[in-house]
Amino acid sequence: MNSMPQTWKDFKESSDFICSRFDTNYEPFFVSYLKSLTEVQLLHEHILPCLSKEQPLSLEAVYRSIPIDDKEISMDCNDIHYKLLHGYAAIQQGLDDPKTILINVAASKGRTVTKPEIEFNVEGSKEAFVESLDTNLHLIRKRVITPSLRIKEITVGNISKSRIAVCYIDGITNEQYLNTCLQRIANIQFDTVTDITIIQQMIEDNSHSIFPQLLGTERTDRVAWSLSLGQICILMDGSPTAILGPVNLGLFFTSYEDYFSPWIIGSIIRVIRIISVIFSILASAIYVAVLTYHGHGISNLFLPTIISSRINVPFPPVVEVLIMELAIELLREAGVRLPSKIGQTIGIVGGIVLGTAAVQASLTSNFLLIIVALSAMASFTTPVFRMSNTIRILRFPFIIAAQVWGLLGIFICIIAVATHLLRLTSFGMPYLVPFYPLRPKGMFDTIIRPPYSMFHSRPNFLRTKNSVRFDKNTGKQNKDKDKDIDE
Amino acid sequence: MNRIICALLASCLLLTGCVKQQILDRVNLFIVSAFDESNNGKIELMLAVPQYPTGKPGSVSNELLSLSGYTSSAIRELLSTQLDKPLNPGKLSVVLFSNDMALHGLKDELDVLYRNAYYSRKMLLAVVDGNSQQLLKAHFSSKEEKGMYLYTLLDTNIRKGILPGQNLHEFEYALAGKGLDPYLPLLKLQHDRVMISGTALFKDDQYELSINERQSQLMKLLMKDMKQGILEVKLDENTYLALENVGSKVKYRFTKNADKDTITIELAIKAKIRDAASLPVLENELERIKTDIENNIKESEMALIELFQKHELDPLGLGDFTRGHVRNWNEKDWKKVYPAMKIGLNVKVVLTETGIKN
Amino acid sequence: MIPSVNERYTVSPFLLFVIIQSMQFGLRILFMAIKPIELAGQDAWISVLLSAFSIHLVIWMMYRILNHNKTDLIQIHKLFFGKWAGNALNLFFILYYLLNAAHQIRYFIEVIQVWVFPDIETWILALVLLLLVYYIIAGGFRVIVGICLLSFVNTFLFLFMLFTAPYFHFHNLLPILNHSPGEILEASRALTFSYAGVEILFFCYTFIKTPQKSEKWAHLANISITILYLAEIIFSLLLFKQEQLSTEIWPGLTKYQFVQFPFIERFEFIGASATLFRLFPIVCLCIWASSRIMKYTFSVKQSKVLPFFLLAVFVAVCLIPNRIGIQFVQRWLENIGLHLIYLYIPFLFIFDLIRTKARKTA
Repeated sequence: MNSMPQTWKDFKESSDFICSRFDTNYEPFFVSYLKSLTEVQLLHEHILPCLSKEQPLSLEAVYRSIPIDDKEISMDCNDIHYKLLHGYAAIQQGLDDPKTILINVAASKGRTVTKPEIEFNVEGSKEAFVESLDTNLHLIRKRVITPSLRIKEITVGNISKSRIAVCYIDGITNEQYLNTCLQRIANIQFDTVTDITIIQQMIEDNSHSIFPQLLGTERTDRVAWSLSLGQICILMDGSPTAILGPVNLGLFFTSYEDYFSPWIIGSIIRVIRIISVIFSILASAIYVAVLTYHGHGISNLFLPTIISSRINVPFPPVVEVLIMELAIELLREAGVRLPSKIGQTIGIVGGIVLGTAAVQASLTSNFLLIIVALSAMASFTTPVFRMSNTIRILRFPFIIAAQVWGLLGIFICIIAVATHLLRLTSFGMPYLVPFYPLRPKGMFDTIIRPPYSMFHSRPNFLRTKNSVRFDKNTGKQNKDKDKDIDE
Repeated sequence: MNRIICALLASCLLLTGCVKQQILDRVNLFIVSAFDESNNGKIELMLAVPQYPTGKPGSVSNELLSLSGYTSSAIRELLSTQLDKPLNPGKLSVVLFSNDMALHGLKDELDVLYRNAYYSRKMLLAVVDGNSQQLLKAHFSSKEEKGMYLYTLLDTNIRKGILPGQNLHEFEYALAGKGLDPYLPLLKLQHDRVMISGTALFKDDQYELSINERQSQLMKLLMKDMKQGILEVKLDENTYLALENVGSKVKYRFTKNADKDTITIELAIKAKIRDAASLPVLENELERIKTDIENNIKESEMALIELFQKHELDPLGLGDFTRGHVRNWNEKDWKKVYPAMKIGLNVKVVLTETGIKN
Repeated sequence: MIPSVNERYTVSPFLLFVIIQSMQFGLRILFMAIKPIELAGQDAWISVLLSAFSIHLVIWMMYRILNHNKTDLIQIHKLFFGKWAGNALNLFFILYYLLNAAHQIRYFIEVIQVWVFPDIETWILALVLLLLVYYIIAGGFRVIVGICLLSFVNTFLFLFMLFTAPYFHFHNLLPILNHSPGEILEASRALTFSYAGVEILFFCYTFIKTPQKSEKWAHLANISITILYLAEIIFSLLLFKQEQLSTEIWPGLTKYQFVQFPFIERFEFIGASATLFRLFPIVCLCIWASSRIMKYTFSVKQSKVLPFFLLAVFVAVCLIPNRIGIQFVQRWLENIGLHLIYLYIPFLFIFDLIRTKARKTA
């Protein structure tokens, strides 16, 4: 066992590399595999008997007798190494013959399909993506049962050699967006890519922006819906998130759960969400602006409340606000990293005790405490995690602008943010469509979630090749037209 | 390139762009100020500055400061020397003038209020029958802050109530306008209580005449459509009736004649009988009662209008009304014509309900 | 260089409505009510309608010129008047637009200095605004039009004027037609400056998707501006006495003092700060147009010219010291605007007609 074929000189040092030698009355066979990647039981049950029982003579005979389908004979050293690193087993005859049989006995070990962690929903399926790409593709294929669903695999990363799968429905998705996407992924040159979000940042239109230009989700039903709308889905082996593109700003504030409720309720919830996001961004800034510069604008009846709640606070409003905001960020960061058992207690301690104590020590006023707590809660109403991070951070420039120039500063900041959003694109599609460029038909599913009977075409800003979902003339809601009252 | 721009923007703002802060709890916001005349042509200004004690949002107390000088802005600045926090005039909502000051003309003081952007045009003005500083010094409000009390008092009775009054905008409107004369509520201090005792009528910006509460109510009836107010009507000796006005409409009509133009005021009141002085209000009596009421109201109103004409005051705005109906209207000619002008009044009363008793 | 615009940067015709409306509906509405009412009294609304009608004619003429030649004004100047005279005219437009932008910014800064922050320095606010303008223009024409659309929402702030309704005196509108036609025409003349944003059409023409069909949107923009100006004049008449109005400097902002909400008592700091939204479209469009003219006249890259223009505007803004300076610049701009709209555009129209006739006969 001290000698082994030259092909394996790179692997000799690893302790999980097995190279077993089978002596026959011809040349000996060498079976090599990486123990950590292969399903050893499969190997022992089906492959090794082909070598020992029938006493074959040649490599080709062995090849024919192996009962596994994914097998090939290769002589290319790089290919052999590549395949071995992906869990293949290699059979060679003799020490010098470069011909190798490669058999796929890769083990898939990973998490089983569980509930989504980030995008929790009350109703609806609770299947989330896992790290294994094959399982994810299986979950998608289960929901999109059409031959037009195409999956293209690309490898990215010199060291990690991660498999990226781009899924789209042929005949619906716009080819321009698809080509942009594929081109950008193919152009990536990096050594290790461990998560799909790293890919996201590399293929985004503007990676300096705090607004995400691609939507990440871990729900299989949302991906199936997006594919049917004409979007592209990107998955990666080793990452439990799927990236959807192209997206516009409105999609970040829609949760897939809106589609489960009746359309009026879904629409109202969306409107509440938008209002809470705006409140979350602007509330602290308006507090700073009004209290620092525009105090005389507050109504006479409200004045005593605010003034007497602030009367002993030694800091100017902006410092008070920044202290409270930083305290909440601190609590949030700590809450993310605490083990779950301690997390709850610390949360209560931090929230209630600190808050009450801060007011009593006159470090802050209780009016501000309400505002900051509400806006912190409101920033979590965004269903997409990346966007809630953006909203958290977006608050601070507004507070600073409010401190410098009051309400005028807030308005200048609004224009700056609006300009930034206007310049942003996602795979070439403008970020603020359908509000700008104005496409009235595309506004259908943004603020109001329309009833399904009216949902007969796909959003026109995705420029799909086929925009008809169902024939609107035949697919109307069933109503008995000739029925009179009490008939 | 864009990053450099952003960095430049940020550093500019933070270093040099700061403007003077007016942090809400570090300035003194006063709501009411009172003007008086002092000797040597000076004026005396008194401010009521609210003090908010910690932790008890309900209890507010006032600090009164006064100083005399020539211009109110300079006085205000000097008053800051008596306080620990600077004064911010942005919340001024009520301005009181003593009647001496009003007699000599308010134009100068009002110019200050009208000129500066931090004063609101909706602030309420009032003339004090007596010394306005005395009024402010009295303890007429125990729970509320003095400025707020005065503001609510004037607002409730004037904007939503039965008495006429004008805010700064309307006063300037009447002052600048031709054929209009301004008017302000008249406040009086009686036994530590502040009450609106009537209306002060102005000719241009000088206080000329005052009328009592009942006359003020009648005046307001002639000026705009009202939906409230109780009218006391005398039927005959010792019989008084109280009517509630549920909707009054007033219309002015201009008739051109060869030699004299006349204005006719038509007043239509929808009223409910509230107090019938135990008079049985029966069907056949209703007509008679109605005619009596109409005559009574007409008499009181005509007396008021004649009073205005005698003093050459025009708070009803008849001159302005005429201007809209006559081409080439001239203020001088109007002033000559007005005192002797024939103004007709038609009062129509519709009695809708008599309550739940007959 | 002949200007040709890539399909990707064009905007749909509806947005022409937004562009022209934002260009006209700037900060001028704050003071536009004073002069006409001084001259024509309660008949000022007739002057508004007369002005609007004449601007409709002007727009019609502009479209005839542009549709014939299918290109924007820069090329038309060169075609009609040859290279040197054409370039001189282009240079004149560059200066006109830069002056316009500088005047708008200085006017806005003055509004802020009087109504909101008395002690803010001119140069610092101008610097910040111009940096933001750079960011917007560097995004291209589409981003500028997006900002115009955003400021369009600000038009609804106009509805807050209805809060002044309790103080309306309707008989201020009587008697009708008390003034001579001469006075009404004078008032119309004074109103021209408020409509003066239409000539931007000359430079936006090539950026519209189907330029020939977009004429109705330009007319609609003018109608909407007319309605807004009518509302402003009528509200001013109803609210103020004419003598009172002539002592006001910004009647548009004084009206905000009457707005009251349960929480907000003094609305004018919101109203005055919100005029920021009306400032940006005009400044961005003006400076963008100037840099574009520069690009095709002197063959320099637009992005290289932009910082210099912004610097020039910044210097101009800082050099205008106070109200008197602003009035001076405004009078210049009013005169130039008047001659531009009522003399130059008809002249171009007639020139174009003669030219086509001469071509046909030749």
